[in-house]
Amino acid sequence: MVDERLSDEDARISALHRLQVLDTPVEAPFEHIVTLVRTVLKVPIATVTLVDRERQWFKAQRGLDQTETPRSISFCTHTIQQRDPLIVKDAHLDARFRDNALVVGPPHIRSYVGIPLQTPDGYNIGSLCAMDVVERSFRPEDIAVLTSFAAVVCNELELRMIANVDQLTGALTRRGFIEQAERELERTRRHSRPAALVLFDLDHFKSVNDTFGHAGGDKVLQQVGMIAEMALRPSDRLGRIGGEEFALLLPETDNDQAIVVAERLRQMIASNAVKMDDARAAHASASFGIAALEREMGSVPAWMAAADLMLYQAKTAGRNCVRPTTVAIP
Amino acid sequence: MKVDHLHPKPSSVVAIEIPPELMESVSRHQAELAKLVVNLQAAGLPNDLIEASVRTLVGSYANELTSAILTMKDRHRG
Repeated sequence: MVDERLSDEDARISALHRLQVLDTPVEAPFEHIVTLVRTVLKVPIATVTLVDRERQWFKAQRGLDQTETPRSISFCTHTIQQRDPLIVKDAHLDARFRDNALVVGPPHIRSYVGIPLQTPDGYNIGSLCAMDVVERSFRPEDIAVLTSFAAVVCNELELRMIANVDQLTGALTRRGFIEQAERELERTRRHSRPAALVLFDLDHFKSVNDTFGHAGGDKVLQQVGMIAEMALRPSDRLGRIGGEEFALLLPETDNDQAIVVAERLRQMIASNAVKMDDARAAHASASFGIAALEREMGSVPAWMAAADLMLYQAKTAGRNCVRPTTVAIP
Repeated sequence: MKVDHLHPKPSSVVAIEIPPELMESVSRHQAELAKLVVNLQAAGLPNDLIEASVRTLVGSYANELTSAILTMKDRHRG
């Protein structure tokens, strides 16, 4: 039977990004696990590796002096294409790896075992790896131990996500969104890439609650979360930053592209009535403020304030509309 | 269930209640640790290393769990 989740790269990348773990600082649980893997399996190299679109990034590592490598030389990119562990007894005898830069050069990987790290919805977002610089047969007992450690890693990743995700809408919490925006701002600074932040607020939401009750209001919020999930790209992030206020983080997006995204979302929210349990329908709309970055920006609060100002303008212009600005603070 | 009811008991955690949203994660973590112990024994590791490993893992999980609970409490306060 074909497992489509192993070949759906866009969905896999979305699942990875939902975890909000890429480019995060060192964290004790993962550090402990790679240390234990190295001790228990007696290997010089152990990593918690996450496979991004073009790179592999190490959430934790022992025995390497890199934080990431191109995906093209990654052993783990092979591991995530299967459900079972990938075991390489001797990389010199394996056509996939014998010319690999990590085999012919430092750290001179010779043997490898990787256990896929699977999200609850079934996507392999990386692997827990043990590597040696000599030919080696890993025992079934070693694989079982590593598999157990991998399950602990998955559980730790999921715990982080539960804490950062709003259970009603599936959006990031305010704190989770701001952390993500801070990382995006840092990335934008480093690479001089465009990015946009959109704030949007449901119009007259109090009257939705008054008419349909809070359960009805929750249904509207849930539908906004679902619409955003459908409308956004894998790299975009949705945050619920207040009761009926949401934020979008759009990497690699300039002002014109952000307007297109916001306008699409606005139309989808306005044109899809929310069906209530008693067969009535709630009609919702939202107002949008956009702040696109074209140069580096001072801080996330300043970026959000710029978008908030445009959201205010959208509200005063009659609601259910989009108002953009470009921000370039040196 | 409270954070200090994890097994083995973490050495330094605050005894705060675990919310229902996190109970599935807690049950799964405890089950995975039990499996890990069996697998470490089968791999022939000495008992003191097994115990130290599990204590390390439960300790760091308890800290993360506490942090997650406090984040969720902040959110509910709005």
